[in-house]
Amino acid sequence: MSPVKIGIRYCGGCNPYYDRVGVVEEIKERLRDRFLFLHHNEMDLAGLIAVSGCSRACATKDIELRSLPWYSLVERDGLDSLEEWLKHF
Amino acid sequence: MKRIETREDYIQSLKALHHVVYYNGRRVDDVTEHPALRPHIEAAALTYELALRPEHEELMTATSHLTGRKINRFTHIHQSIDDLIKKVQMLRLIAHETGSCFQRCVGFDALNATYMTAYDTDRKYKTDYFERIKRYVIHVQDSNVMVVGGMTDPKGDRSLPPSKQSDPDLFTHVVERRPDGIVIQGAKAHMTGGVNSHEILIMPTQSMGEADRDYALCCAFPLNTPGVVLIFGRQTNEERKLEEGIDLGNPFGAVGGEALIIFDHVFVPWERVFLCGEYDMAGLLVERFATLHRQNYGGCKGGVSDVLIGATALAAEYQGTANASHIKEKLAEMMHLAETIYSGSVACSAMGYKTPSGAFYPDPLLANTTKHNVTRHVYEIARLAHDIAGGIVATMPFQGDLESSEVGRYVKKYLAGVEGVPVEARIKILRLIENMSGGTALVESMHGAGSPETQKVMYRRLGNLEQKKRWAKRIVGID
Repeated sequence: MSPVKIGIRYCGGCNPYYDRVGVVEEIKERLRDRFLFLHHNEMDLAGLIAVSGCSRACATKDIELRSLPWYSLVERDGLDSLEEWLKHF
Repeated sequence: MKRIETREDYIQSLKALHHVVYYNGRRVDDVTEHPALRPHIEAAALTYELALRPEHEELMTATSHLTGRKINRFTHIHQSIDDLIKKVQMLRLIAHETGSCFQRCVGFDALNATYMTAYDTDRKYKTDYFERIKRYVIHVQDSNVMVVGGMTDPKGDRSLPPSKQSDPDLFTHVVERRPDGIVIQGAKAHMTGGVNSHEILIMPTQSMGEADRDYALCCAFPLNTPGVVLIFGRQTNEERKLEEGIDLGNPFGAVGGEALIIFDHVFVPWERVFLCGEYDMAGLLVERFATLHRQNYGGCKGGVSDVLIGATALAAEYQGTANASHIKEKLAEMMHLAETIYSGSVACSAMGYKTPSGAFYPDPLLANTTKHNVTRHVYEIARLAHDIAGGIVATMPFQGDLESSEVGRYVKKYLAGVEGVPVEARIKILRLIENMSGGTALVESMHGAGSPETQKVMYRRLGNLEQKKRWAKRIVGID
């Protein structure tokens, strides 16, 4: 079975409260058998993860225009919920 | 010119420039190899490097409205309120990485101000400056060169206009007009990033009258153009940069690294001239550049303050004072001041508007308020950093003493703080505080983008005082 392609969209990181890149690396490692995490502009994505450094969630701006299921991650503690969401794919 | 993408591309491009740079009386053959210039180069290099990282793409890049290509945001003409806000966010982001000025915003603001004003000048005078500046912007975007924003003339006797100066070159001016271009003479002072930029976009430094028409000048040219000479400005503790190591404090230097740039009969082709003689437009260009540049300071100095606050908090932890209530109070005050200046930059961006050229422009009154706050709050943040860190900031032994086989043990013994914190870590943080909160760093916050009195000029002009009086009268029933 081919891995499911998920796009990662970061906020710009003007003042992050946690290590966004580190968290993304962690989720990639946890789920590398089932998912392929790519740049959000890639084609044929099944969903998007908006990774924002704080609750302002700038990475979600206009994300609904992509017409893809998406998840907003705004803190490190949201990883488990994100993993639950990904199980739906 | 090959597009500059990476830090290494940028460094190689400076090696290839062969511009005429002087440091302490000596010609510098390669700015990238000079220890006093390298910190500033490394700071500017981050404006290239961070744009390549996906986690910063949203802030560090934009889509050119002229070509549709992805560009570095420092070469972008603001197309929306969102662009204005992202500019400020971007500056704060980069400041977190450098703890110092990274220089490239001045040219960024010069491009935007010239773009807007060229459009207006063409409408009034039927010139073709707007097409020229669009082509120049495309060149800057595609090559990704770093441009100096050249506004400030040396000015000589400030009580006299340019045309009345005893030396006509104390303001930059046109000395010859040819069929293929102009020849200019003069200088620009306090040129941030001058020695490690590729080109300069010069603008008039103040409003001009008819007698000063030759000084109403805006044009761009490479810094290796014949006749251009750059003289680097000596900073506080300048020689620390020659030592490198711990005592340098911040490997990215203090402030941007400014230069006096001389133009000795420099030829500029007409294609790169965006204002020449239309003296009544000079003031508008100055005001727009000033507003765009003042917009920044809550972003960049907010970010720099974040680093200083972090260093100060660490200094308190390392010496065991972090739990004292007055320390917490002072750190909270520092954060309050940093967020206050940042909020000003966000506010003037959010209240920005579209100019006739199509480019967006921040609210001038709020931008000036932001900068004016910076002239005060950065000093207070520094004062609190000194208060918390203690007198040791001013009295620490040399790095050489720490490393000395004879006295190093004394330094390690008597500069120890809480157990488990290496003395070297404590010294590094204290040196960072020293670097970020002294001399040159504070003066730049005072005068960068315009001295405090220039903001007060804008309060008087834009402060709507007559309307404020009417409101007061209305409330109490005075006709």
